[in-house]
Amino acid sequence: MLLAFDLLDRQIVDRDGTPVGKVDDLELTGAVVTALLTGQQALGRRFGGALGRWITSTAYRLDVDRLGPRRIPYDLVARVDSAVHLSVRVELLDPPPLERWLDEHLVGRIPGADDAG
Amino acid sequence: MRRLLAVTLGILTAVGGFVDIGDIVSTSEAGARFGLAHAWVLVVGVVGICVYAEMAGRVSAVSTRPVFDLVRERLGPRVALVNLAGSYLITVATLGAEIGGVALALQLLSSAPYLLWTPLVAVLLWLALWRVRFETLERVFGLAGLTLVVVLVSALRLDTDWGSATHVVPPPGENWPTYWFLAIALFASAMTPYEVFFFSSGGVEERWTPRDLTVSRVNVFLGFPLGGLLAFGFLAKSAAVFHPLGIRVDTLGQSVLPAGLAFGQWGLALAIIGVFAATFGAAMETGLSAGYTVAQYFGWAWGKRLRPRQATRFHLVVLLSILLAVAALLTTIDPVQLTEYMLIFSAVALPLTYLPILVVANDRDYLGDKVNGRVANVLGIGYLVVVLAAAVAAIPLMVMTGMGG
Amino acid sequence: MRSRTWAAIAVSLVALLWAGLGHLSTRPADFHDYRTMTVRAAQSAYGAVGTARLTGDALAAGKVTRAYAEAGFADAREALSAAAAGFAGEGPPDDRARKLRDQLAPLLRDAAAALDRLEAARDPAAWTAAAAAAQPVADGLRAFVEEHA
Repeated sequence: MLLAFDLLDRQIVDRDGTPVGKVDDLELTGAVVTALLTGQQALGRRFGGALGRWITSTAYRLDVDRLGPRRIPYDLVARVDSAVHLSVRVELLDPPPLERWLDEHLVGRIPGADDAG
Repeated sequence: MRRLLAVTLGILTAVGGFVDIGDIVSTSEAGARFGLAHAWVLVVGVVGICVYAEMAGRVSAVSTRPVFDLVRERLGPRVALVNLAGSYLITVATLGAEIGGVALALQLLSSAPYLLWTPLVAVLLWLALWRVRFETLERVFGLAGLTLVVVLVSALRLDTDWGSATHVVPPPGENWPTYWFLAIALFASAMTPYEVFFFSSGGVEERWTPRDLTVSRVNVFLGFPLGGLLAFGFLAKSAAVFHPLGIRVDTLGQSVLPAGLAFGQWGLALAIIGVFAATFGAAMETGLSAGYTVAQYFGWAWGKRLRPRQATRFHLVVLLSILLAVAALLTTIDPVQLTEYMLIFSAVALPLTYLPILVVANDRDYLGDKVNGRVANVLGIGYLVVVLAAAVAAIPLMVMTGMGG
Repeated sequence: MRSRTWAAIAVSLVALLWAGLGHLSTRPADFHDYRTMTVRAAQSAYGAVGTARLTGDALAAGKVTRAYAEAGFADAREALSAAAAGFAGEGPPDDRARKLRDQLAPLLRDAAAALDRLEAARDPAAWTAAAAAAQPVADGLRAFVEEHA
């Protein structure tokens, strides 16, 4: 098992290389990493202090469905190099709440939101 | 053949893309007040940006991750957040200055006040970033920026005292603090942080692999020096026209006047179009860079390869950054002054940008045997010392000289 | 406790800085300050008139467009008004300063008149004449700067 130091803050990408999030925190069972936690709620908890509380509470308020930090089971990790590569596509994971809200209410509604540049 | 074309286009876009409002303003001012006495600073700046852009390009090509994606892993989330805050503020200030530059160029073409143009430019900018393909953007504005060659040629045609480039002391009536103040502004304009954010993220967007190292290096070692030559054109023509008269340059209109004096209305029109293209191109690069820095810190999906729907947070940051920049301009701050402040504050923030690149470029975990060689490290550390000296001296010199006044 | 000490130190530092800046900005200007201010105003007026003259000549020769020249004259006008406002905003502290004021005030008036004439001109002959008329004004301002800088 990889040391936590090598995973923390690393970029997570899906099988096509699309960014999914950072490894903001880890879920450990004993000494074994069982899941990657990503999202600003997890990041704020690691920060600690007033700034950390602010980040967490802002992220919490934006998380309308109260799902908590996104959890990616470690089984989905295919390999780790300069990024953490998952074996699945990003569409199979739960979308981050802010990303989904923006898609439904703001950015996704602008004409052309489906065209790649 | 297609590959050759890609490289050529890459160089041309780098040439056009290197020159922006910061270069135009700082070189025109320095040339008017000190003649060619600052020419060496441009050389120092161009070598510096080459050294660090090469590292950034190499990191992107080998690790397939942009440099600032890696900064958080290496420096930890707290330090990286400070870095993000500094870089983001400077980038948005630069974005405001570039939008102001586009609006000023339109004012020179139409005589309608630049403040009327500002919102229109912002809308156009956002539309371009939202709709148009990345390569198209790069090519159109990079190539149009090449019309700035007219400025360089007009410096050749006008009566420039080339010998004075070796005379690196302030002329009578000027002092050393102002000399160094402008030198720092020129250096910061050559090493503007968004250039490396954009270069390394662009490499990832174009899906560079280790095989593309040569493309990256050719882009850097030809594009940046040739772009520096265009910036030198502004220094030289200002030295030729305004320095002998003792007139200081503080408007964009003044900086393009020599092209008209040398080549008439066509020369003037080409210079203004060049300024328009260069600042619009730079506005796109800074707008995207603002989104890149934030998205890469938090790990969000970013870039123009993805459908906007897949990267909504990135597009939101870009949109908000444009709005912030426009709000700054609508306070009626003079865009040229905004540029001067932006340059001095980027000088202060330069170590935040360049130290992490040097750290990552020496990391075998990411780069394997493609880490910095001895030359890259000697130059890199040497430049880090220069960057730190400039960062420390910038604010005291600004206060001492009253913004160079 | 320690954080409270730090806060007290920080607050007193800010208060000191504030008081210092307040003193600097309200203290009566001496001759040296006044001279610096007039030279700066003259320098910027010289830049405005000098550039407007170059632009007027270039316009007469068909080297620049009307739109460009109008924008250029507007820039010059703005720079000149800013210089004049700064100059008028501060009274001379002593007799030497009054002499400076009396020397620069007519030059600034002439500069505004020269700009008016350039902006009002409508054909090449008038542009050339207005540019020629601006030349002595520019020379006077430059001489002022060189004499007192």
